[in-house]
Amino acid sequence: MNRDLLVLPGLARFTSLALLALRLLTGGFLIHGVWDNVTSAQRMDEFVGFLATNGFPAPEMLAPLSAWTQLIAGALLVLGLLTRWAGLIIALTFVVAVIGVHWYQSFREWWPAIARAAIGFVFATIGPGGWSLDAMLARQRR
Amino acid sequence: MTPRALLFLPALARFADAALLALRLITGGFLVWAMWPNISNAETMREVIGYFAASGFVWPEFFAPLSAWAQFAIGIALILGLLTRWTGLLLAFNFTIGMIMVHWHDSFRDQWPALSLLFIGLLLATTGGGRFAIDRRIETGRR
Repeated sequence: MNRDLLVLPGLARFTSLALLALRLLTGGFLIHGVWDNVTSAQRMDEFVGFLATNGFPAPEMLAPLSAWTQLIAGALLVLGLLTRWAGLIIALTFVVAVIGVHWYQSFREWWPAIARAAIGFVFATIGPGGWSLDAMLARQRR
Repeated sequence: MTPRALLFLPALARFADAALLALRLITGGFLVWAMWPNISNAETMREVIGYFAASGFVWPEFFAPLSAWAQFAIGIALILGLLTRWTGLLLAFNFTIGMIMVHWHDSFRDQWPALSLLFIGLLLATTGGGRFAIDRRIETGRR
């Protein structure tokens, strides 16, 4: 049988498009998820309480740090700027969330966080693809 | 390390295949875990058929088992890295239908599980499974 029909190598030409789509979705979701925390003191207080309930140390410091980190990493993903750093930060943030918040829950409850950890790892290694500010800056340097 | 290497971390590209393996194992493992109760328990499958009917699907008795078995098979194929691009396309198609029929009016937070699976499917449909996938052996013709 034709190997190309089995493994569809021709689809590799759309990798940058798929990376752009996943960046926009994940970045947009991260920004959406913490927007109320960074724009409302009351929602930030609720997030501090959530972290305290889950046994995190120094929740008054960690809550704003986590919210702002997710906001900035989300914006960097959308832009495709410093994408590998953003991916590392996202992977680390959501590995901590899985361990610190979801550890005793079901896989279904793990999924929203562990998917972001895995996606972060993908961006940390594969990078943002051709349709990104990182790629634009790399082209300008050449 | 040059400032440029520190900013853009190109050295991390060497772990891309490991990241694709992790993404395949986590996504495939999740699908297998989520679908196992549906395909192994007739009562659970009847509940899923009812859920499909309530969501407006035609022929729920046909499409509920089809979707459950398809997701289970997609999960196994992702874990193995077998026909990954086809699998990614199927995953994206399955959750496009799920988004339209079930999650359209949900909040972004509630859409995330299905949307993330849809876009992970699109990514794997283009990148393939990476070096640690059975597909690589098919590509290179090795046994």
